[in-house]
Amino acid sequence: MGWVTIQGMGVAYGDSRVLDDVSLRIPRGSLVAVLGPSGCGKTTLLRAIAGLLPVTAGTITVGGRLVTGPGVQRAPEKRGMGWVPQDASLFPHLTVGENIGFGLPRTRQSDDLYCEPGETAGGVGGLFAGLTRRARANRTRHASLHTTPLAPAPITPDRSRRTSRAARIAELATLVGLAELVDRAPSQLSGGQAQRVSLARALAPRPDLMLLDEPFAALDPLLRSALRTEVAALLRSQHNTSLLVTHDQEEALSLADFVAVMRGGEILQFGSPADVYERPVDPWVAGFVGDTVELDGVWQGGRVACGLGSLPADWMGARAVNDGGAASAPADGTSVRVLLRPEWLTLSAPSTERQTDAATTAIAYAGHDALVSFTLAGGLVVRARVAAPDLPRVGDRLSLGVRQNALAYPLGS
Amino acid sequence: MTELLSPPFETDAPPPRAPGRYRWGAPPWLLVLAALCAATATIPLVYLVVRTTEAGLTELLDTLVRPRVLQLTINTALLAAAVTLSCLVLGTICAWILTRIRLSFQRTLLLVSALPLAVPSYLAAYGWLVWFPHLNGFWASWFVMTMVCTPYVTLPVAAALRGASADLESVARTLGRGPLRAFAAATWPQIRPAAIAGALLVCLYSLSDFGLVSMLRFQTLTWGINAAYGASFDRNQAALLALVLVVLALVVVAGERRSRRQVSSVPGRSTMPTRSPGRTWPVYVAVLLAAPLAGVVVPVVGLLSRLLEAETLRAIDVPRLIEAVGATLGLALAAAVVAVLVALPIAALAARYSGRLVAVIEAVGFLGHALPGIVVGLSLVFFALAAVPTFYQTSVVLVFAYVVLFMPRAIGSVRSGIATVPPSLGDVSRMLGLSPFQTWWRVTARLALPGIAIGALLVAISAMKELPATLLLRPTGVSTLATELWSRTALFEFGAAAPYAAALVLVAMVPAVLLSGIRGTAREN
Repeated sequence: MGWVTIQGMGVAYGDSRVLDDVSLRIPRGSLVAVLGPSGCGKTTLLRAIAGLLPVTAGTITVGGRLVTGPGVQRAPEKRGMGWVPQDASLFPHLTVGENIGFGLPRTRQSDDLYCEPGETAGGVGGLFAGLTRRARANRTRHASLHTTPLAPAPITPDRSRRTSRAARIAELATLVGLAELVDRAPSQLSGGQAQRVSLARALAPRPDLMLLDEPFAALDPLLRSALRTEVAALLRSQHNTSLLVTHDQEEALSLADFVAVMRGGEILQFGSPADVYERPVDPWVAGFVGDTVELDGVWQGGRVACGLGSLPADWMGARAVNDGGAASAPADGTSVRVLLRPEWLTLSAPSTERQTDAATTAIAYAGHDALVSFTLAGGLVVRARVAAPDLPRVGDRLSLGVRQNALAYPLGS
Repeated sequence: MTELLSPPFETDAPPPRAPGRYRWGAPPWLLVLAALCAATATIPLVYLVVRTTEAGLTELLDTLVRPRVLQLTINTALLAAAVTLSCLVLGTICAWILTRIRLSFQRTLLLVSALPLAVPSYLAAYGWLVWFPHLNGFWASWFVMTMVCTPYVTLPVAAALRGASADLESVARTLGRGPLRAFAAATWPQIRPAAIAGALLVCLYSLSDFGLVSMLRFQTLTWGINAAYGASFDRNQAALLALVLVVLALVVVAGERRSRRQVSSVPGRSTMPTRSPGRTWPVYVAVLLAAPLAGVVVPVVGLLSRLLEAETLRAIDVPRLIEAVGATLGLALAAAVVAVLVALPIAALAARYSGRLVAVIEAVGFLGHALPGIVVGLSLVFFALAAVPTFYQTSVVLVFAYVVLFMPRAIGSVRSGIATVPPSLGDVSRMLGLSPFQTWWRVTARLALPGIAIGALLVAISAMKELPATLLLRPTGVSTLATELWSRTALFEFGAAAPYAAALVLVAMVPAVLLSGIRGTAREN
């Protein structure tokens, strides 16, 4: 059972469905990336989890608390989630420190950030929640009655609230490395600094779940890769459960514990980064998370016959060994689509096996490695990723091998 | 080209939403509140129609075909058409000079060409009458009104020209068109919406103007309404004339809507190189300065000359002047506060949500834009007498009239104020534990404050200068600067009118100065 469980969630804008029957389990303390092209509904998914959009179907529970379900639609401010939007969105009228402390209770007025199930949100009454003394008393009572063992303890109201608030702001500013900038205005920060403040601001109230909506997309590439590694480390060090939305497959694969690949409002595959990259469930996922080499082939009992000879192959990303296999695998002799990763190809001196002999026709040099195009005997062109120093030259004849099981998919998929 | 730019993954998801707007429907309570606020703007029009139909259809038709009514209608339409046309031509030329000719003191020239906006039309007419007491009739009204209204075209067209891509015009030139034909083919379509929007303002202004035509004794519908109302035994006729005027105004607004074609913005970023005027610069400057000279300098100098005469200075009734200043300020302040409060829900709705219902509510809120002040005044007289007699001849009804008339200005600037606050800030605030109300108070309203303040000041300025509705609705014994000025000019007491005119200019300058201050700081941030 995941810490965050999403089941059968659907979202529709009017008549058009954006999300359809989405289910996702996020283990506690893990960083899950939702990866998909723009327009696939990944941001919608995030906003629906946050409560910023109403869902049309499905349930969401966080740490055992139902936040969305039949008849339950908790207001975003009562979900205990942190939100890091794409453009940092710092409050321009507040200093960095005030931004970080924005979600921390300042006075007795708004001391219970975490509310418990059973409370219906929304409506005109919900607007004024927290403003009237009675509503606050009710909410506090609810909280004490329904506390589940999984739920984090609410921030205990203590007399030195002001100092604890200041201490928390200082702690977070230090955590994101901006301790000396707390009195700055947001307009004086660089893009990377602003995104760090946004992160600190979301972390401050100790959310049960962090939601990050393409937080690095607006940064320049160099800063992006440095910051995202740092942020992932920081989230792990805080034992935070996080959901990151991105369209950058490198970001998803390098940062996340699990990756969910989305397309057209559906989650196509959920698994570890290696699962998704090495055993994609269909050619589209394979192509979206990385470069591919595509060949036509014929299935022959766990192997495929293709332009690179007869290769051991897995059917639709499943390991033949684990899988009962044969049931889902096609009959021998079926034409299939064969996919390889360019870096799975190996080069060796020309062999006697004539079929895999290939001529080097083009080299796309990228410094650390190169994508080398080879023309096979039959005129077929394949590309191999070759590590940098030992690159062939155009015209060289080599023999190609494959170091890993090929992937086979039905034609037309 | 688009295939090259977009990623190769086809998606069946709907296109991304416009930034700054939610695709979700607005919360029902906001819709209801905004609809109620917008509904207040319909009271004058609805009641006017009710009042007119009460008189009976046959009588209505009888009155309508009287030669007198026809004459007034033709006069009004002719004046509006002539003024609109001349403002369109002069304003476009001025805008072209401002953006395409390299003149020294360009910013100052732009400011100066906006100046006539600050002068109420009746003040300009007064200024000209001081110099030429026998000025009257169609041509005089046409001339002064054109000079006062030209900035309504100049400013939006200059802005549009500055944003217009010059690439198309350059291409047209290289394809063998002369400068004028290239401008017509390539640039005019880009500035057309701005020009037509400006022309709409001019047309509505001249249709609904009362003070200028009355002072220059050109008989239009507004004059006829006031005369019929003043005669007081024939209030049906006043109502009918008001209805005719409203229909004219609505026809103009509807015409502008129909001609407002969607212009696809041209992506080119280059702007047209400005040309050095060479030796012809005095011609350009003279064209630019025509409107400010005739609309501001001549009247103000006339006003000052009268003011500084010893006779005038001796005759100033100081307590009465102070009283008028106080009444003007108080009424304007009340109108500004109420108008902003009423505009807030409509503006919040329009800034954040889209949809047919939202568009209708916003359009209804803008109704006052098309309603001439004298029509609102007259209708509210009837309405107050029939529905809320306790408020008749109190400031409540007058403030309400100001609110209906000037709410569009408040809605416009409050809406753009709210629209500049990214919705993501609201999302963040909600996610950090603040309720919608707290979020509105601590984030959205706080950041939209300049827009809200500008809206209030615009309403205040307009209310100070308003004349016809004030004349009809002011409580007995209360006079504003505008009504004092008008009643004295009507009696040809130009000297006695001067102090009030001067006070009006000064008082109206206070919010104008505040306004430029707010805009300045808003730009810095």
